[in-house]
Amino acid sequence: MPHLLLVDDASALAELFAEAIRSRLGYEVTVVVALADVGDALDRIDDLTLAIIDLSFPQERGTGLDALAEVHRRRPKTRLAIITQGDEWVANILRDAWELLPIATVISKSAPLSYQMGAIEQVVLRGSAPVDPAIQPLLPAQRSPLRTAASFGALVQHAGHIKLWRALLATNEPTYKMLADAAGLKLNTVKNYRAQVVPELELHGLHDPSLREMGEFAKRCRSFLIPFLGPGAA
Amino acid sequence: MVGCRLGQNPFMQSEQHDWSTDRWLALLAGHTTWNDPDRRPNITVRSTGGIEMFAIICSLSALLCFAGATRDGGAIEVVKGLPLVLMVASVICAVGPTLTLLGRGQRTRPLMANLVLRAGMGLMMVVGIFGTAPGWASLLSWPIGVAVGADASLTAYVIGWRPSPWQWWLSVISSPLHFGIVGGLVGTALASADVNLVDSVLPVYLTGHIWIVIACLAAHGTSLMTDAERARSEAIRLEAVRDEHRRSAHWLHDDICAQLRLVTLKLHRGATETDKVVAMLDELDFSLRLRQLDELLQSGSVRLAEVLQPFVRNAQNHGVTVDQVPSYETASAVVDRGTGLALRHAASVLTSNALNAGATRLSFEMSVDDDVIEVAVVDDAGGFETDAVTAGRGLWSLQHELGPDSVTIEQVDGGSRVGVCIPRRGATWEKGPARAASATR
Repeated sequence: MPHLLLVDDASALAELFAEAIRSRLGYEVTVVVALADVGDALDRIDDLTLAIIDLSFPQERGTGLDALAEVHRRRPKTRLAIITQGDEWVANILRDAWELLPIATVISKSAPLSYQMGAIEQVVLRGSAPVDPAIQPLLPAQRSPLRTAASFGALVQHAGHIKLWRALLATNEPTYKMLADAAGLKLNTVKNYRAQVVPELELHGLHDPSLREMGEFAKRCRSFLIPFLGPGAA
Repeated sequence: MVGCRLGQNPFMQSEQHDWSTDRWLALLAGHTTWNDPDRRPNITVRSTGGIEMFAIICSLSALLCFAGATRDGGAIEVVKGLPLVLMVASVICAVGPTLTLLGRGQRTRPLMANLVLRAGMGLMMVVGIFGTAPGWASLLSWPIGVAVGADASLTAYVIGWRPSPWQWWLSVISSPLHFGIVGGLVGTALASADVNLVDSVLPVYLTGHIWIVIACLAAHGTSLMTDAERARSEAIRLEAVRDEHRRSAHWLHDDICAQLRLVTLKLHRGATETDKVVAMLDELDFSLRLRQLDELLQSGSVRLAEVLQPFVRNAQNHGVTVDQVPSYETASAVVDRGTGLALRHAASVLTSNALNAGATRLSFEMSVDDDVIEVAVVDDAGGFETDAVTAGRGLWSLQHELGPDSVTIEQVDGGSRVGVCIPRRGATWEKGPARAASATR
C-alpha cells in the first residue's frame, strides 16, 4: 500500500485531509505538523511513496522548502508534492522549490477535495500530475536546467564567501558594517565579495540585489546553501 | 571591533570606539562606493546632499569674494591661479551632492578609484582655499566643515554606521593623519625663519580644526535628521497598522463571524444539507479571497496572477474544469492599483457570466503589452449574442468603464470567447521573468 507523508502546521486540517486520503484512496498517511519532526517521520517510514508538504510555517524558523529538501536528500526516490494556498508571500518559496526539486505536482489548498484526491492519485500511479490551474501562473513553464542544488556551489567560491553567507544568515536587515562585524572582514572586502557573487545570483532570479534581499535569499534557500558553508553553518 | 547586534536597527546602535583604517578609507571613498539598492536616496539623503552642495557653494563664494576684494592693493597677496584651482575643485566636488539632491542614482565605482579621485579633489580644495585666502582669512572657509560632515554622514548611513560627534572628533584628533599635519606645521615653523607662527601656521591649524569640529557637528546633525525622519515614518506606519487592526476587527465581526454563525445555525436546525453547507463555505472562501485581493490592491500594486487567482479558484469550486491559465511570464507582470481594479472587475464579470451560462470548461487567456492588458474567458456554454449585452449588467458596465471597443465577443466551437482590453495606467515590470506577451499554456 502506498505510504504518504503529509507535512502541514494546521494540525486539525492536516488530520482531516489525511483521513480523506485514507478513506477515498486507501493510502496510508503519516501526518507531521512541525518541520523538526520530519526527520523522525522519515526514520519511522520504510517505504515512502509521496511526501505532500505545505510551504508556510509562520511559527517556525524554516519553510516547507527545508522539509522538501530534507525528504529529497534522504529519500531521493520519494515523489514530492506541494500543497499551498499559493499566496503572494509564498510565491518565492514555491518558485525555488519548483526549480530546485523534482516536484511532481502542486495542489491548491482551496481546490475541491475531489480535484485534490485526483492529483494525489495521479502522482502515486503515474509519477506526476498537472499543477493546479490556480497555481500555474505562479510557476515558470520551463524549469531552468542550470538552476540546481549544485548551482549553489557557484555562490561559495572561496572561504571569504563562506564568511559572507554565514553573516547574511546570522543578521536581520544587514548593512555593510553589520556584515563586516559579523564576518570579521573589512568593509571593502565585504563589498568585493558581494560583487563577486552578484552575477551568480542572476540564475536564482536576483538582479543586483540589496543586502537585505541577499539575506532573505540565503535564509529561504538555506537548505541548499548550507552544504557549501562547511560544518557549523546550520 | 564592535560585536554585531542581531536584529537591531543599525541606526540606533550606540557605537563603541570603532575607528579602524578600514572605516577611514570607507568614509574617504564616499557613499557612491557602497552599493546597496535598499539605501538609495530618500528624502533625508537628498536633503543631506543639498546641505553638502550648499556648503560648498557658500565656502567658494566667501573665498572668491575675499580674493576679489584683496586683488588690487589688499594687505594679503592671493597666490595667482589658486582661485581657479579652488573653483574647479569646488565645482567637481559639488557634482555628486547635486545628483544626490536631485535623486539621481550614481554609478558605483571601485573603492580605489573613488579614493584617488576624492583625495585628489580634497587636496586641490585645501591648496585652493589656503592659496586664495591665506592666513586668518582662511577661516572664511568654515562651511567646508559642513560639507565634509554631510558627506561623511551620507557614507556612514549607507554602510550602516553611526558614531557620536564626540567619537567623530576624538577619532580625528587621535588619528595618525592629525599628528602628521601637526608635525608638518611645527616642523615648517621651526625649519624656516621666514615663517611666522602666529600669522601662517596657527591659522592653518585652527582653520583645519574648525573644519573638523563643524564636520563632527554637521555629521551628528544629519544623523539626527535621519533618526527624526525614521521616527516619523515609524509613527505613521504604526498609526496605519492600528487603523488596519481596527478595520480588520470590524470586518471580522461584521462579515466573517456573521457568515459562520449563519452556517452554524442552519446546521443546528438541520435545515441544510451537506452540499449546501459546502457551497456556503465555498462562497465565504471566495469572498475572503476577494477581500484578500482588495488588501493587495490597497498596497498600490499587484501581480496579474494574484488578481486572476480568486476567479480561477471560484470556477473550480463550481465544478468547472479550467483548461488554460496565463503563463508565469505573462501573469508575473505587476500593475498599479487602478489597472488591477479594472482587471478585477473584468475577471469577475467574465467568470460570472460563463458560470451563469452553465459552462463546464473554461480557459483564461491573457496578453500584455506596454499599453494594454487583454483578458479573455473562453467557455463551452453555447453561443453568445452580441445583443445580449443588457444595459446595466456586467459587460455593459465594462463597456462604459473602459470604452465601447474594449469588449469583444467571438463565437467559438461550442461556446464563446469574451475579451476585455484594459489600458495600463502606471504599470511596472517585476524583476526576473522575461516579458512574453500572449504566452499561455
